[in-house]
Amino acid sequence: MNKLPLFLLCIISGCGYIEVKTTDKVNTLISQSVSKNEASDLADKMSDVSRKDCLIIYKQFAGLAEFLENTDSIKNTSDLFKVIEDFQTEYSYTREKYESYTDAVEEFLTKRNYSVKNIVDKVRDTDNEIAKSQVIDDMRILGQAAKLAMDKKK
Amino acid sequence: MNLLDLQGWVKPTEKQISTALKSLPMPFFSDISQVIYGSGRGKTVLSYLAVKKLLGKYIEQVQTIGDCTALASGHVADYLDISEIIEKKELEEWLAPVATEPFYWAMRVNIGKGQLGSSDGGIGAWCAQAATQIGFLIRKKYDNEDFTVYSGAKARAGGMPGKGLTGKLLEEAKKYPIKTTSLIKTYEEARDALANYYPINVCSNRGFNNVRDKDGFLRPSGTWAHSMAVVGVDDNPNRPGVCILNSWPKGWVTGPKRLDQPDGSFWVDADVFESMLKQGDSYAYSGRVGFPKRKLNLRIV
Repeated sequence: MNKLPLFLLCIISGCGYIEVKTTDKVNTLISQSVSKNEASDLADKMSDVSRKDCLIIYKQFAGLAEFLENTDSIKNTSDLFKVIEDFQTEYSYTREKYESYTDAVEEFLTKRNYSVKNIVDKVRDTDNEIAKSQVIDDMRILGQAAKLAMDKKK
Repeated sequence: MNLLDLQGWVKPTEKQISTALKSLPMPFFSDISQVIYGSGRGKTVLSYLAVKKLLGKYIEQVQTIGDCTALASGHVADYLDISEIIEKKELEEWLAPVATEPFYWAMRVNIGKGQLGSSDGGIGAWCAQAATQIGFLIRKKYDNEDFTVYSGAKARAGGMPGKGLTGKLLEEAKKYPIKTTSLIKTYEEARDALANYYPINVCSNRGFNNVRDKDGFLRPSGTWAHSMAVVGVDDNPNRPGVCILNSWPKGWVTGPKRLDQPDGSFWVDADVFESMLKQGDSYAYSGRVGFPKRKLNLRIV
């Protein structure tokens, strides 16, 4: 499955480059179904994350949400995390560089049962499945958090 | 490749059947099926669709020697395991298909004691025993053996008298057995087993043609001393039947398919299927001890 080029295309077309002002398209994307409180809480844990890394994280999760909306190639949460890993490699982003942020995201994902529910299904949300719509929303929340954190650093 | 070389079911003797049945905790499906009796009536239940849902494709391992009994048992174990994950919501993780070579070794030597000598082949009853008393390894690299890719030569070598499954590999396989295997004797028993996601390893000398009719069925023709996996049932009142998955190379069968069946599979009419079961060496498998779901690492940023 050649996910990365399409994923990157989504990032580039939707989010632009460094020092970017977000486009209307991306604002619309992010404003849908996003829990501002959750995003805000996560943003509070990003005080020590550099602006550059905030932008990378924002591109990653916002782009991933759009990618998920347009593909069925993500079959399970392992696939999802592999795409994230590939993106981070491409952008030379180091995981666990900001411990409190990593802890907060881990807690966020644990509460939503990503460690147990594995299969990404279009509709169902049962014992071993997670609804695709939830995954999209969660990626948007993570992206919004990074955007909020980035905005605070202006 | 000559398909005659890709059969490999050996008709068991009465003694071999008797020995197997005595060793199984629930030898006869008829004895344990009261709870689910009739539950398959009128139903269409396709275990293979669970596999496609999880993996995006079917598992269709292909044999190159007469180890069909191991391939069939492997398919049964895999389709059972995935059905349990998808349809019964068991919190297990799917890692890889069964490695059929060590199972072939265990079936022929650990269970069969080398009775077949150097000739290829196996017995359904021995597979039933090996599945419950020994278990399965998967297609991956172990410390001293790599089963990532199927090898008929490897299967044959380890299945010789005096070889078999030993040491750490045997210890590892025993962690992942099938919970019960039971003799299936009628279409109704099979229908009810399959409707509850218990696939069947069918062994017989029933042969078929190789062009499916408009309904996806093959008609009886010739003799195949062969073992295959039964992975679906359609108890349609107009034409009831089961879906059988073969382990022969791609392209062995052509013709229309239906109900999104795997490429190497075919439908068999209920009465023909029952005649295969009446040969007395076909077993339903239920409850595979699979791999507990790993907790994923959620430290993703």
